[in-house]
Amino acid sequence: MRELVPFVVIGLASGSLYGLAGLGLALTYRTSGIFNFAHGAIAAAAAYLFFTLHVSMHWWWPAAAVVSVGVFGPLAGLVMERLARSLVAARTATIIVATVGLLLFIQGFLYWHYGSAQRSFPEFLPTAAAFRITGVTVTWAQVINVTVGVGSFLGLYVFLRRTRVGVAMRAVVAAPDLLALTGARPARVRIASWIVGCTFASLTGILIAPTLTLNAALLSALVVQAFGAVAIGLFTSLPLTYLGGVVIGVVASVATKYLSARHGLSGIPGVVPFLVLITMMMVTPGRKLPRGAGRFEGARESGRRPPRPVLIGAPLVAGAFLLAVPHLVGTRLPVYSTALIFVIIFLSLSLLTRVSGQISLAHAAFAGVGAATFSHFTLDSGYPWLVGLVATGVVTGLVGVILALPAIRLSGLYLALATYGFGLLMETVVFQSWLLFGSQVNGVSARRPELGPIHAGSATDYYYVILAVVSATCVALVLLRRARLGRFLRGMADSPTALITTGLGLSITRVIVFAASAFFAGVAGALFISQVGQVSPVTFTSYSSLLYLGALTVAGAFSGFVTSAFLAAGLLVVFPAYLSGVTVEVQSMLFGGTAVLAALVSDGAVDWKTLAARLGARLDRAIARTDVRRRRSPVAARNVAAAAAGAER
Amino acid sequence: MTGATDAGLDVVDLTVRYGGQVAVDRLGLSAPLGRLTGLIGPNGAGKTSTFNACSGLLRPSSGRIVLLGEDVTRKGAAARARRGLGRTFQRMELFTSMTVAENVALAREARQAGSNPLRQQVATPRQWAAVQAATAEALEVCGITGLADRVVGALSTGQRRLVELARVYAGDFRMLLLDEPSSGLDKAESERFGTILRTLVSDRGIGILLVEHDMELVMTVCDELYVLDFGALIFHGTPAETKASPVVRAAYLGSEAVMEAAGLAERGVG
Ligand SMILES: Nc1ncnc2c1ncn2[C@@H]1O[C@H](COP(=O)(O)OP(=O)(O)OP(=O)(O)O)[C@@H](O)[C@H]1O
Ligand SMILES: [Mg+2]
Repeated sequence: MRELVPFVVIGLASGSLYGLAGLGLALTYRTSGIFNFAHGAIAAAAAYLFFTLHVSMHWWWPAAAVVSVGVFGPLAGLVMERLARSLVAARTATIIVATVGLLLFIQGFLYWHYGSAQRSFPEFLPTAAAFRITGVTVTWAQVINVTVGVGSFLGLYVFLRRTRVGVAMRAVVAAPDLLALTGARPARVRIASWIVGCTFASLTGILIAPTLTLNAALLSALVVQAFGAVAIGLFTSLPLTYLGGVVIGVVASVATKYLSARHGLSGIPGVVPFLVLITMMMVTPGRKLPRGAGRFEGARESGRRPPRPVLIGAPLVAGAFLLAVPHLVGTRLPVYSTALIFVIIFLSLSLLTRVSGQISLAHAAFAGVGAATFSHFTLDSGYPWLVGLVATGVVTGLVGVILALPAIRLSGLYLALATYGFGLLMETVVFQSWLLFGSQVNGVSARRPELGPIHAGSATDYYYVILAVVSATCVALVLLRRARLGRFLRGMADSPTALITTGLGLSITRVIVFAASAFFAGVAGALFISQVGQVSPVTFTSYSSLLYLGALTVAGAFSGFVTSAFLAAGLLVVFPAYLSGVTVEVQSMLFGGTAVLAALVSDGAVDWKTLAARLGARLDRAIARTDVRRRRSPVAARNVAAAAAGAER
Repeated sequence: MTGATDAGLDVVDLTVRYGGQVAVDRLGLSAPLGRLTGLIGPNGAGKTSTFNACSGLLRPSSGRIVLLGEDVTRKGAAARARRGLGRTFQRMELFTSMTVAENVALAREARQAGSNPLRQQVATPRQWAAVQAATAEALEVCGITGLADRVVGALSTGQRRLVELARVYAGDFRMLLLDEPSSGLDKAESERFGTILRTLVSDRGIGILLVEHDMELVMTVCDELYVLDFGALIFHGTPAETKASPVVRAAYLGSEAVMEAAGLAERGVG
């Protein structure tokens, strides 16, 4: 028992901060209906700001803290409120994509600006011993963390009880529908809660950074702890959310003691929050979870189809180009091979998110499972290449069925959260097991096919193999979409209720679509490992999943099912090969920023044209007022980008 | 009360609670096949909650739902639909991104596919033919053949109501629950709607349970009425008896407009 004390102390200190982050997240979710996936990214941005001010510019730390919490937090809150307000009428899926886009944008910006190397963050709070319990030293920093956590919680509690805005906020947290009836101005309540929420996030960011080492990804993942805390509070209860954070902190810390030494289980302590998240999502009855903003109906795709000549001509032209690629691109052929493989990934992701309206944030995990499984099948078990490819698809499809289990119970935001937890779990624990990549850093490897005349070593031959698989996938998925199942999936995106009440066993439909999607993603993973020879788990992280979703959203804003997959693959893979400045960080910013924009305008409620017109009109008015020379919508578009970008400043 | 032959939907002792609030209080009613039964009551009386419990979207606190003589209380919504229970929604549930014809066809397809994984993916030629025929007929009966290729999201409320009706028609259900199907319709559309409902009942012998605020429509088309107030049944009788009932009048006090439409107000309630 005694030897547990130090772990409990550490757990309490970090858990208190998780609880604080959770409070901010729960508060903003309940008052606005928008669940902010970028909550942790805001914490990360605050921590980096503090780092710049305190370490690079040598500010006295309290001054740096005041700016990065007291100024940055409220500013971020104002921007978030603006964004949230524009999103409330959008589809649930769009809202998720928008805040995920924001996460990508902020994280991309931080990597781009600060570099992806880990930096040690100064422990600016005094680390001297404050007191000792049963022989364990408790530092002042730990005392302060707990005090700040408890203090903020109590402060919030008093604010919610003693002030007018607070009382209105509390009413809204309990029953968001009543917002209009409380007599308080809804806008003020929302602004107040976003300011409090983002300030809490910033505070968490700078306090937790010293214990984590400064790294944008780590800090953004902080949001997962907050997710877990909020899930324990069932997305409604603030005290339970705070308590949930503390429990997660303590359990994770104590788990470190028991598991870190044992082989293969060292990932467990880190996944406590995901486990909590997944478990809560799996056991909580759906009706207990509050409904956020967003409507379910209204898939993006309209019934309009391009004219017949385009429908037949476009694939022919594209096909001819793809056949000619090896003769056109010279040494860049591997880029195109990889891009083609990503077309399959995007098609399969599109089947889930665009066609059936179910947001999955674990798609890269399927590709990862595919790559590792294929290596085992072909190298370890000696399956022929083609057999290995199909078997890999089947195995990954079965993993898809596992992910369909939450999909049967949950939809919208809660499904997205469950899949995000699943992706993180795969990445941090399952990938490292001998079943998949094993514990070696290099990961696993595979060879290219030897099929009759096809020569294994030839990049050109393999390009054509990939092209054949891609074509087959396109045909299969287009047929599937036009067959009965495709109609059900589109119907599911519009109104699951209507399908159920006309007799469709929707759970089966969900299992089928997750399995099919995973099958193709697994095949893509197998093709990928054959292409590059060796794959390590870091290729397919949950961050990749978010990036894929961002790229697909951007591409999907302009084009249909098949075209958008090609476009997204082009953006993700080909584009950076030609522009040396386009690194992953820049892509993350680009996709993220554009995904936010696309989410804002592509949802039927507002389209590009009306937005451009409206911005044009507003600009005209501004110009009339300030008498500046008349400008047109490209500038306006840039203004929007700047507004969306404002979140990180 | 009803013989096994025309047993449509029987609600026995149904109670629905939301947290502490009782929305439906030990309600009993029966809507036989071949008849149009009305379920009326002031706002918040519990009509939609009753429908949700009947169609399996909501688990009742207690009570039983008997469909075509079979107890379906423990069956899911899809299973009830496959046994012949169709419904429309007060807040319409349509496939807004699809065409009218696709919307109507999908109901039949959903019933055919059920929980069969293979049948969910492709239809047999025979099923497909049945779908086509049912869709054409439903569009015809509801008078929206001209709209077949329009995307539902672009239609007016009145037209959408007709699409929802056509959808349950094509679904070939034995028993229909219609939740305020005429709200948003103009007078002419409403009358037409009433005629369609009567035709459905007399020609196809299906049973309809109708929730409706348009009292004129209710009084003219229904064979029998149940009146709910605060979740409890307060009256049951023919439209004429309902009009004359003082209990019903008292419940509707405060909704004079409704009373007037029903021709009750001039008998000196105020
Ligand atoms: N999901 C819910 N959660 C909590 N209370 C609810 C819910 N749905 C309905 N209620 C309450 O239950 C009662 C009955 O509602 P219901 O929608 O069944 O009434 P209704 O007769 O259909 O009313 P209307 O004529 O307005 O459609 C109302 O007081 C309503 O506020
Ligand atoms: Mg109702």
